[in-house]
Amino acid sequence: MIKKSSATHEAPKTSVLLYCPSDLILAGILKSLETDNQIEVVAVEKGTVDSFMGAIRRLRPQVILFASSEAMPNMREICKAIRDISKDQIKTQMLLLGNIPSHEEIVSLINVGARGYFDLNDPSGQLPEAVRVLAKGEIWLPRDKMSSIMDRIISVVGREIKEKTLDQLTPTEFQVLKLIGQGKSNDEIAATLFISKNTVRSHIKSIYAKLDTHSRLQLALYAINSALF
Amino acid sequence: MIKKSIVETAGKAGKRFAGSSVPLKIARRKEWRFTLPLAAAVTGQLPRGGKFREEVKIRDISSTGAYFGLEANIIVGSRLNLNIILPAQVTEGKKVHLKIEGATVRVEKPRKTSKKQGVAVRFTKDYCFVRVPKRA
Repeated sequence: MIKKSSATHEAPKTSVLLYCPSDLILAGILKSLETDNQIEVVAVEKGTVDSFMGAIRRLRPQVILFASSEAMPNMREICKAIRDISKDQIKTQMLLLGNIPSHEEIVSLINVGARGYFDLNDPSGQLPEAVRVLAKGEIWLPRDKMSSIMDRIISVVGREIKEKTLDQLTPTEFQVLKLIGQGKSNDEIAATLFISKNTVRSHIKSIYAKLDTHSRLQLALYAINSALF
Repeated sequence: MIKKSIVETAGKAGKRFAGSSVPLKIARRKEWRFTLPLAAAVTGQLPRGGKFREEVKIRDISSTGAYFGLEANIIVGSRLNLNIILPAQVTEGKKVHLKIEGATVRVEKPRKTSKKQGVAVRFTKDYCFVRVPKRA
């Protein structure tokens, strides 16, 4: 007779690696994480960033809490390095804890690999929730900064879209595009810009590549659209 | 406008998710589509014979087709000639037309407030730019 197991299946704990050079801040973080028994702090690093990177490779935590009360000049490089390390192993999510006043900086750090930002002035009770959110692969941002950070992200994305289009063209390419929009042939463009036909062809080829299109009519419509709006 | 970013509603012919009443949205267009309110003259033949010429305003256009409102009662498959007038801002004051031929691929019923039916045309032939000489 087989006895049914009465053991309950507990959800696996979220492993957390903590980097915090400040004892005072570290004590606060550990205290707030104690309240959640599904979070397991596997190690605390207080030394150099290099030793911290070694700990990430060794322990493969699900979530990294990187706490720093002062702005670190090489923060972007640290985020990139952690992103590269976590690419090869289990997906490690990084939550930054600090006092970063600039929303641009927060957006930029998220852009290079961080998955969230927790302000040290935020209620400590929210930290376990932030860890759980990151472990699920989501992003954590302070509620009061969310709208302005989202505005920044949207403006950055908008800028990138624009950069992929007209901003990429050289002044001559832009002139060529404008003349295509006027319905001019390659010969006419060459005569207008005092360049050879081959140079015109070369510019058009480059415009096709930069604007990711293959049709001259499409370029003409693009030029018309740009001139009107 | 980004290539391949335009999401088109599949409409009546569109597929639906199993167990869902939400029409599936598919981005099928490969080319940029511009919302360009360009003036154009459309000529063609009516289904019962007889030719028509109508001044329209293009709603959107790409290198493969265009969409506009048309009063003439044409049907799907009708061949149309479009003579699109390029805006003076683009041509530095010169009169330039874009001539292009297409086949009607979709005709939408006119709204209650308008006599014009929505017509989608797929370009079938090469285009050409025509410079209109100024009248003396």
